[in-house]
Amino acid sequence: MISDHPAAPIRVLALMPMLAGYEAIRETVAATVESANFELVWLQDLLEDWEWLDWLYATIRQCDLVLANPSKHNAFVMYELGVARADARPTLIMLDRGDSQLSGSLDGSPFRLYSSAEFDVFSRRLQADLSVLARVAFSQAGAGPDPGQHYRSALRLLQCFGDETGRSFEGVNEDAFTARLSHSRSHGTFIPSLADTSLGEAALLAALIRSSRMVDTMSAIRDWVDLRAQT
Amino acid sequence: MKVDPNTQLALIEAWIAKGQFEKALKPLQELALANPKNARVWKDLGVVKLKQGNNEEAETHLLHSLDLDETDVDAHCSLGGVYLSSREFGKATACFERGLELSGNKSTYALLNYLVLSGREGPLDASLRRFGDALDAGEVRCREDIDAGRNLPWSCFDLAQIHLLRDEMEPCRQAITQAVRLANATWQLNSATYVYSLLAESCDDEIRKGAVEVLELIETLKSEYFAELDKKRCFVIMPFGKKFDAADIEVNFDEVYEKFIKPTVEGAGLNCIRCDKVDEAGNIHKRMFQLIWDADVAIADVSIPNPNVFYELGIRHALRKAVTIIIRNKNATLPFNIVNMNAVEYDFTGKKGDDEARTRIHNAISTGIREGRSDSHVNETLGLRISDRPRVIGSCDIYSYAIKATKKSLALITGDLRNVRAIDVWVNSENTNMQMARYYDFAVSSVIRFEGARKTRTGHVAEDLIQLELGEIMGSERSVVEAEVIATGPGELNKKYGVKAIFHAAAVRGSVGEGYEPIPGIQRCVTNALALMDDPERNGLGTRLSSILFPLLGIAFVRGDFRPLLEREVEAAIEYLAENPASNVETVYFLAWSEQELALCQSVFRSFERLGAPIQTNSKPRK
Repeated sequence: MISDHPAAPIRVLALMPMLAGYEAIRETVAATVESANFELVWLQDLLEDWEWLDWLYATIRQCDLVLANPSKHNAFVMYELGVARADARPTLIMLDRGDSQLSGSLDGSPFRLYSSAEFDVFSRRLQADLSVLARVAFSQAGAGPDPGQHYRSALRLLQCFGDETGRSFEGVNEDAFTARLSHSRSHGTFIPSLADTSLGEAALLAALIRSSRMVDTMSAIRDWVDLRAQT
Repeated sequence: MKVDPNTQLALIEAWIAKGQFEKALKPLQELALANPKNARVWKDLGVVKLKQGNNEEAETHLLHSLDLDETDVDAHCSLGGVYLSSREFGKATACFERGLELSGNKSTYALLNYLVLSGREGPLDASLRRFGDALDAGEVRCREDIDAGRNLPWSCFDLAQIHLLRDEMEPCRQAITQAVRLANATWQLNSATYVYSLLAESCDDEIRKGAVEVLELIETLKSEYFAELDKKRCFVIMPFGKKFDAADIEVNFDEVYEKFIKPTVEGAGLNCIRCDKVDEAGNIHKRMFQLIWDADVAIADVSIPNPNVFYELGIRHALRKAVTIIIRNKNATLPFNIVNMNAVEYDFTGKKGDDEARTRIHNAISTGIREGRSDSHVNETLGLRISDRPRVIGSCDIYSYAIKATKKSLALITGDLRNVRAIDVWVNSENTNMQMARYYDFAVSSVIRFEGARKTRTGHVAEDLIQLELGEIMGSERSVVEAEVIATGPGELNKKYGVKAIFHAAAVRGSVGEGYEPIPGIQRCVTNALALMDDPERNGLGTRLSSILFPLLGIAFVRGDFRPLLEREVEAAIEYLAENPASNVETVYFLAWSEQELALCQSVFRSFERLGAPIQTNSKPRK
């Protein structure tokens, strides 16, 4: 475990559907994690009930980051995400661009989109996300900033987004924003110390924009935030 | 057809009497809109708000009600109740006086509260003489009400209060016992307890003494009679609306809930709660996660692989120690079995549920609650919360974490306190009254007290050394300020464990009827204890103290997530050591007694980037 030994690689637990059709994205994720010099931990073969759950429980605590793919509202992955939430591991959610939306329970959380036509783009972006997340993976403690401050930052970002893209999205009120951001923080998709990074900005906008769980909306958010990070 | 508002009000007032305030609120608000000049509506609204703890709105509504009808005795009394609970005793007295005046001294509610308040101002003799006849009449009314089964348990509480005011303790005790037996909700007991806590502040010695006795009696009776009546909650995790199951049969989950799950759960004596649909504004998250955490029982319907249901079930399994029951439609092909729990199959094709399934669910609920069974394998494995039966660590392992850029370190030490050796100071988590635990209590305080005592040859306590010294220090003082830390000698702990001093930290506070809770700012206990290590005059041991052991302060009294509490304690230790490089303290130990505590501590320690990677040893701490 990385936290027990400074020289050990960061362990990324990938929660992926085991269904047919996901081979290519599994390979892409494996290659990306490996090229980032992280250690990938995931289920290679289908296991029976007891084995699967034992594997899950034993593995979650040994990992430093979680990467989850709940595409097509995969109930297995959602269950695993729920279990992982208990330990508040920093988490990245990815979703097939062919989906229309993220499952309702994850409403307000940021996610990274992928499509089979653009695995290389996804891979680059995922690697960037992982490196940012790993850099601050262990800095979550402390009182955390004032939620009102995050709300104001998110409003400024939304304004900026509208000015630069010409697109406008409806924002939720401050109470709902706070609830969504708190939810996002609880399952590790928002880390306060990352608020100023591309991941943090995506999380703030996801919490603010009412329709952020729709794939089209998140696609626009991530594209803009990524571009902003590059410039 | 327009319904007479007074007919509706009678029904609503019955709900209020049963404590169904939430249920009463909405129709009352609608009635208020439709009948803005109806004083009774505004009065009832005020009463509901008062019971919900919203004094500000309660006051507004009651004042408005009195604007419309100044002669309403109950409205005056309810307003008096608002001021009583906000401790505005002058205003409260005026309200009850007016109630007495308007009722010709016949309102028992007004009379008893007026006397409670009078007793705070001075001797009650004159008031008791003045209202002697009214008290007698009140007693008669109470007895009539009790005999007729009216206004219970209040008529019993009122009767008890009348006896107390007359210094008739035996009938007072009888009436209290009857009242607690008849009470059916916590708020009723809390309400009565509050009145007696005011009487316990009376100027009259006898009344004060009697009130203290009554408070103790209520507390005893509460645990004896009341605990079982305090309804537990069942949170139902399931899909909404109509969905197709694996057999391509349409299932109306709303109907399943209303006609099968809800009646089954309520039949088992629990309140049944189902979260609303997940809305896009996200506010539902708060309520949903609170329920996942808080509910005594959860039922998850996994008839279809609904992502939200599975996500919530995963959280529930990981976080919650209590009963979680998996159910599924008989047509469903369960994607996996949840470890050692068999899913209860139900048959809802005939739209009437399934008696066998009802029985199984009912049994699972009652057995789970009775045995406090932890049925989540995930929870046991992850162990991030303290369960009823924690797995105690047998070995004394040490995980040392260097504080970056300092020569200091934090460490986790595992297992039983009695395996720990050679740490200079043990911190005793104490209440603000500095009352050490009894020898056989389940507490660090009891271990310290017992092990520190001088024993007879047969192992019995001959001299309660640490408690005696603490008592001497306290003298006539009954409590210390929160987060205060007091040093005493180690008694016999020095010989056996190498302990040089015990620091007693006021980490929890108690209140009558509520039990103990961690003090706000519990991290100050850590800071104060470390400062005491560096204060040779106050600790009486010079500069020789370099290691200190903290139990996880306050966590035994937290209901819910205590991770934030631990984070603050660890943060305080890091900050103190980082900001005081000249401190004598080299290592601050935290005691992780069970595997669950160790997992939580490791998780918290890992989250502080100022701490280095842990180095594990399996030996006694050495300096």
